[in-house]
Amino acid sequence: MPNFLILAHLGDSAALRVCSALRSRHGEDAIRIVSAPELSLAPSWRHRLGRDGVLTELVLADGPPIRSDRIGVVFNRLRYAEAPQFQGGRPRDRDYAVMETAALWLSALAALPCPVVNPPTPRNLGGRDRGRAEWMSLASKAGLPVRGYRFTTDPRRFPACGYIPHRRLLPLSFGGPDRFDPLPPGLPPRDATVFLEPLEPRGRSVLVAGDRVLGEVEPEEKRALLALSRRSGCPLFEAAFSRTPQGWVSMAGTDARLTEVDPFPELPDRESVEAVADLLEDRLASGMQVPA
Amino acid sequence: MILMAGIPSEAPLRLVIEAAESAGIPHVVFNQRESGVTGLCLDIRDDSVDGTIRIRETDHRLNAFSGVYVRMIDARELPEERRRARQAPAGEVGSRTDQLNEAFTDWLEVAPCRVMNRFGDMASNASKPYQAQAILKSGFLIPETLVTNDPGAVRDFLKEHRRVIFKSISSERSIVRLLEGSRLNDLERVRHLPTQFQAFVPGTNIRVHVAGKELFATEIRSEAVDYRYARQDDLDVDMVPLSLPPEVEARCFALSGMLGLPLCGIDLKRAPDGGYYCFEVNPSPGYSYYQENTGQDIAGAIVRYLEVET
Repeated sequence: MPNFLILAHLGDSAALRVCSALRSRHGEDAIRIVSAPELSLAPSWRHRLGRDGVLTELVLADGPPIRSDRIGVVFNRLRYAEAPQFQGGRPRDRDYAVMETAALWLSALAALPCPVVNPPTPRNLGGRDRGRAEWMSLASKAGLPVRGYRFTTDPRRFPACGYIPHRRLLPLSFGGPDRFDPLPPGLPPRDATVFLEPLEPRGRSVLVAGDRVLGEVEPEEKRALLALSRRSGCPLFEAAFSRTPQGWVSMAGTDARLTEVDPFPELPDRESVEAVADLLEDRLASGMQVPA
Repeated sequence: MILMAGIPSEAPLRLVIEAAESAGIPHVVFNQRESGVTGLCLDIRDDSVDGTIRIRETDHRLNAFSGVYVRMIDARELPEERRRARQAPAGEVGSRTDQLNEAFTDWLEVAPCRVMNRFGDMASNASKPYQAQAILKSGFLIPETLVTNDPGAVRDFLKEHRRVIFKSISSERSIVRLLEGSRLNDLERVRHLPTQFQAFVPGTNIRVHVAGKELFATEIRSEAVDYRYARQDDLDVDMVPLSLPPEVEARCFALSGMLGLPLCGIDLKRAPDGGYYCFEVNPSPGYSYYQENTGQDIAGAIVRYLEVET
């Protein structure tokens, strides 16, 4: 039974890098990585609930069975459910299969007695699928200054002076971050418009992994980011900051604005991968459940 | 002032509007069918989320509402949106209606007033076994449950419990059916997709509506396995208001609080030994069916809860 179980979609290179880092520390047998299609196509799922509590036993196409009460820690990179066995089916059947699969995975993940990073919530298997207002509200309460934002269906009545008009685009993937496209200069906005506080194009990003914060960060920012982690129930996320045209100042009189929060960081470098491996080891050692 | 959002001709929303009118409580209705002529301005800045909603040429400040009753549908399912989607090519930018509804639901998640109910909290119903875990914590019993794609596991479960029902795992409505007869011959089909099986619990069906600080219990008398579809099986349904023991009422309120659902429909069964089993907590209950059959003033309770400033 693996100490470390990694759940990820195919092509998730961040998950593969973390898997590789853990294997070099603990050996092959301590780590198991399972893809979303493997979960969907598992020959046997048995998820039981009742007077004796909750237990899940999973038999995959290869490898020994996985029991929910014998896992050390889970690195959860699942964003959505997959039902590849219905790929060629009618759209209505496919949609139903995906909903049923998501419901099972959510329950099984939520019932795990071991730590899960990031824990699932009903809106998103890998951490809460929050809208901008919610993330920014949480961040603001944690003490982080956030980028000014106005959405309006009537930009002529509610122009946001000094802010830049954008179109709001559909996310590239399910649960993906908001996307905005600036309107051409000089073209007055007429339809639903998002106005964003102007910020310098080049910003910085910071990785929060448990108690570790990687990247350029002031002490007050670090405290606020850790507070955001606790408030959001996300021990792992990347936060992007940009500054206003007035320039960087310290957090106390800050011109640094939080622009995005992403609970599925890419982990592009060795330092961030090792930080996540450290986080998973800490969680394994303490057996700490992260509250959802 | 209360804000109500949804389609006003739909019974649950219609009854809340009528209750507010008869109590003389100021209210405004965001009719989703009029999304095309509704305006919204939402501001997010440090420490605050606020804005205005424009309904029939009148602007209302969002943070001035004492409460919101939400009975919205997915904006993409609105007839106008379906027509538009068929006629217009799919693009990168959502329609005005889509963007407005999304921004509105964004605001609902952080609105400081009372909301019945926020979408994030309603999402627990997307998985019945996930919700069952919260139900267990509240002190209610749950039926022995197996979610599986393994026919052998189903046969073992059936041997153990003798009478077993099956239904969907998600919030997608499915008729609850007994596992018997010809369905036993089809068990191999479960390999294609996990299904939820439960030990049948005999007893009396009770539906409880929690609406803020008020609670309404209804006993449902029917021979049907799933009384919601009794008429489909040519069976009758009778509904009678009921008083619950105080400890059961307390568990209902606790469950409502735990799930963040000040309005919910809780499906219970009182077993012959007196135990109370809970099957599901419905986050957007079609309470009107029960109100119209029993006279219980659930709509009034919704309005009473939402008119209080927090």
